[in-house]
Amino acid sequence: MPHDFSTTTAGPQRVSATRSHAAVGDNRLPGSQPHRFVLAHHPASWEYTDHGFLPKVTRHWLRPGCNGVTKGANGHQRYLSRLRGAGWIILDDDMPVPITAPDGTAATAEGYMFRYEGQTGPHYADAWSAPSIVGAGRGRRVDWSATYDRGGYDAWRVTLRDNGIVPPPTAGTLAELCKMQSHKANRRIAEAHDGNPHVQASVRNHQDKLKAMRAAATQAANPPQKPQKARKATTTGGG
Amino acid sequence: MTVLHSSMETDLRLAVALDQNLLVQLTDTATIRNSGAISYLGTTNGTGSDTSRLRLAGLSGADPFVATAAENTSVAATALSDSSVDIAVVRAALRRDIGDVATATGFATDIDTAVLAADMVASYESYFNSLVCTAIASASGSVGTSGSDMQHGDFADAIYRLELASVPGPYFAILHPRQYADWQESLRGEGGALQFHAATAEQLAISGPGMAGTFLGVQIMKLSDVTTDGTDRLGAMFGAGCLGYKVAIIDQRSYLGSGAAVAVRVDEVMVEIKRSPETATTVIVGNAWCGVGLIEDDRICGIVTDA
Repeated sequence: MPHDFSTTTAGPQRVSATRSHAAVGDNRLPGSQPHRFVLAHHPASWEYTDHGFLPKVTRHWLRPGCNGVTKGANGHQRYLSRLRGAGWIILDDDMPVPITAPDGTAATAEGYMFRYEGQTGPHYADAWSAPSIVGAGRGRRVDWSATYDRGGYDAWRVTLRDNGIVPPPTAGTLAELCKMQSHKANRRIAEAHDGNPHVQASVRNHQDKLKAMRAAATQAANPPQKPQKARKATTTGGG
Repeated sequence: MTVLHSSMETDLRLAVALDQNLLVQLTDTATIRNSGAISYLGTTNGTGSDTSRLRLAGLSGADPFVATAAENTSVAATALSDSSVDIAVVRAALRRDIGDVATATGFATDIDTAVLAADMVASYESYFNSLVCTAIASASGSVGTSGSDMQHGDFADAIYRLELASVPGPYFAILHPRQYADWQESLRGEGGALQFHAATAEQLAISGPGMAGTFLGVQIMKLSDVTTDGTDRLGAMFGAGCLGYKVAIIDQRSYLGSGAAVAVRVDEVMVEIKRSPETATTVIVGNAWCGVGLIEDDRICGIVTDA
């Protein structure tokens, strides 16, 4: 009787293969962005949006070789302590942040820093960024801005302002912002008088925004500090 | 039967022949290191640390004289203001391996050990550009509207801020090509003093990567390494002395006993070439040690506009 070899030992497993060397279903992002970051707010950095004055948040890359950051797990600590010394408010990367879910509903993400896999390393991005790949072949690149969750980002900044995580802007900061906006409004006012309707519309938009900024500034400024008791001074000395 | 090229392709002709010219793929080849925008601050050699602390003191008229109340008034001491900033030097490297057959079968001008070694400098400049662009992203003050294209008004606002802070010139601007293109669009519609300015026409002309000319006294650099925060590009305008860099120069003590390795110093890059007979390849490695830092935040204004 012939020997049945079918149950003796398990043979090598066969898996399907193709002649293509390309990884099937490789959804890794082109390139990489391998540097972590922290988000921080400087007290003098504000901007006016549809939600009123919102704090600007700056992304500080924790990249070795840049701004005193060294290699190693704690290579960024000295840089962060310098930022704090310069008045920056470092925002914890594990704080819950509002985002917009894919179905359009409001949701919460645990932290603002996320990581994607890239073909040459990780990509670190914030909670409101959604990468989309543009192009093909060697020209493939990642577009982070087209699908940015601006609503969620602004909602987070509203919570920073309203919950007191960042101090309110000073009257001087708001006055400076209004002044910059008035420059925008006045810069092309002579052209507007020439009758160009596009320039007139642009100037009008800037002026409307300036009006709204001034109205919001009177509400947003922190209460004035208790003034010093002024002492009378004269031209002949004293005071 | 007529002898045609197509009939000879099987044995006597090539279906496709490689052209002798070796062209370079589209890459941002700009370099900012030698533009004067970034101050060279020396080396960390012999300092005892890979991190240098730059010291800034409030001198040169930061504290002016004050008239005394009377001829015999006792004057109180005025404290000297000071600050410091760190620049850490770190290693960056690139390695290429090339096989013997790849070298031997090359054309007269082709990719070989020498070409790969010489190209290390360009790769270092690209890395340096990215360091600078990362450093400028940390500016505390900025102009521009998040999510909106860059306008000429943003450019003018940046000049205004720097002048208000009495930042000495020359001024430099580092913009992403997207920011620069948006600004060009805005310039096309500008009237008034800029409409017939020669520099306006110059900026509207095409320019390659890197230095894009001077406008209103500001030297403009286009760099694709300008970072993004997801929605905006983080360019900047800054005055002289705002950014600096330090390097470490690796000396011959590191190469004692290196045997067959050939070390070639090209400016701040050390290129080493080593033979690997076991794999019939030649290894070319470029090493550089540098660090870039934002020296004074008051000398810079971020330009944050739509990506």
